[in-house]
Amino acid sequence: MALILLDPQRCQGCRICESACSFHHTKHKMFEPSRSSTHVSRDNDTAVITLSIDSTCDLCEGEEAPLCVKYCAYGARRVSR
Amino acid sequence: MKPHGYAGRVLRVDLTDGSITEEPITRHSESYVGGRGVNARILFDELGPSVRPLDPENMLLFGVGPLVGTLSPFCSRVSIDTKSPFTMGVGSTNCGGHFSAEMKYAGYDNLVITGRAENPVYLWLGHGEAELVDADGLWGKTTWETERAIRSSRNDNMVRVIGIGPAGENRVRSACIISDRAKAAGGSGVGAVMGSKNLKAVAARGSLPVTVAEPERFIEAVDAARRKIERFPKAKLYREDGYYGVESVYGSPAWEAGFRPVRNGQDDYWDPEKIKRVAGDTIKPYRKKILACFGCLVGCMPWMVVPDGPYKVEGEGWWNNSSNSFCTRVDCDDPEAAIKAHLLTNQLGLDGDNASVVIGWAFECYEKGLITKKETDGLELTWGNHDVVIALLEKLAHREGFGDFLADGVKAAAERLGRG
Repeated sequence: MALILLDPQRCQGCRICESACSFHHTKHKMFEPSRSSTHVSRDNDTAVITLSIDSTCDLCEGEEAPLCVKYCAYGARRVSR
Repeated sequence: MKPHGYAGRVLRVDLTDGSITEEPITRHSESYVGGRGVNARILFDELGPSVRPLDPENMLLFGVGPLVGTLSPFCSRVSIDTKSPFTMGVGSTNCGGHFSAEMKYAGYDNLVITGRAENPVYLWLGHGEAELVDADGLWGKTTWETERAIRSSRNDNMVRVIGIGPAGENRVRSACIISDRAKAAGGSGVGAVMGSKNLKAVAARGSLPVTVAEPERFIEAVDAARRKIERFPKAKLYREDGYYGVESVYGSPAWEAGFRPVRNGQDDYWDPEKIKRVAGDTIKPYRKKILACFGCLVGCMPWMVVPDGPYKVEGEGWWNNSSNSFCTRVDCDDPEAAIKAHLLTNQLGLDGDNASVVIGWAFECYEKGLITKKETDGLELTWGNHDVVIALLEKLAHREGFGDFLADGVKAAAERLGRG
């Protein structure tokens, strides 16, 4: 089974994965992080970044590749098969 | 129906009577692209020429453009426009971070703030609704404490806060507005305008969508832009070492004579041994992580940690101009003191460039005997005395003693001194 592996050490917290994910879930209609399956937060006292993916992730069914992986510029996500 | 790319609404807040009203962005967006364009038009139409910058009648506008909050790379800026207490003309500044996208998701493209609140308030923008919240308990706090307190009271660490520290509250001319604790909208004294309105902060949290007219063509354009960015040879380096770590290593053009002001700009040559102590490669051990603004592909902001000692501190930000401000301009080659000074400006809500200019000017006056310890509250303003730089930042932000003398900028201080 395919999985998306997350690396919070490499993530710089830009949240573009959330925009990309919501674009998939809204059938390419809009950008809306509240519709994203993946979530990025940052503790501003320590710069520790927390990444998660919830159960609504469908691995971008119908797309060529998961959009959060495609649009991450930092190598913080990859698909494991 | 709201237009593509926009949240759809302009929020108007009159702090004097507490009224909050809305108008559709289409009143402006058909003639001007959002953000600064709309802010500038509203200022032009509505701000009278006789209004002084710190009068309640001055207007303070925040605006985000149509690409903010989409997948478009690099679109993270909020434009802040007002009448500037520095120049008495248009003050237009902007900063990155994450507030801009959150303001759009909260449902607003532009905020038009007028009046003066009787008691300190902050403006809450939450999921399409706006309200003014009592901020008595936040007044006097640093920008870091303010963000922490607002996030804590909302029990939500995704809330984004933009606001002022003590410098803005005290209407120091070099006060800026700080977003996400570290991104400074400086240069125009906008923090003093915000302080004059008794507005401590604007906090946003949203879940509303942003649409684009032709999504598939939009994505093609986004992908083309991303390919161009990846061809930029330094993109990868910035992600790894931050802007300063790449552009300011020892021996780089950034340290060539002429690039940096030394001892208040009296010289442009700085001793190479001093450069070595604060250059991009030397301060690498203090850089624990690199962070990105919303939607940015080339994160460049370092997270700096001074782990112990008198300058123990941890926070975001250190730039080329930080090393101008707190190294060359005041002749300080102690990297830990300089990092502390820079992060202190973020906490106090001071523009590091402007604040260090007036401090550097005071150091030069001291060197030339135009001011003495009698005027400086006993401080010895000798070049490289970084403890005095740090003490003066606090005094400046709080308008204490000699800090009050400097708080209206170099021109005002020089006129007051009058010994030229």
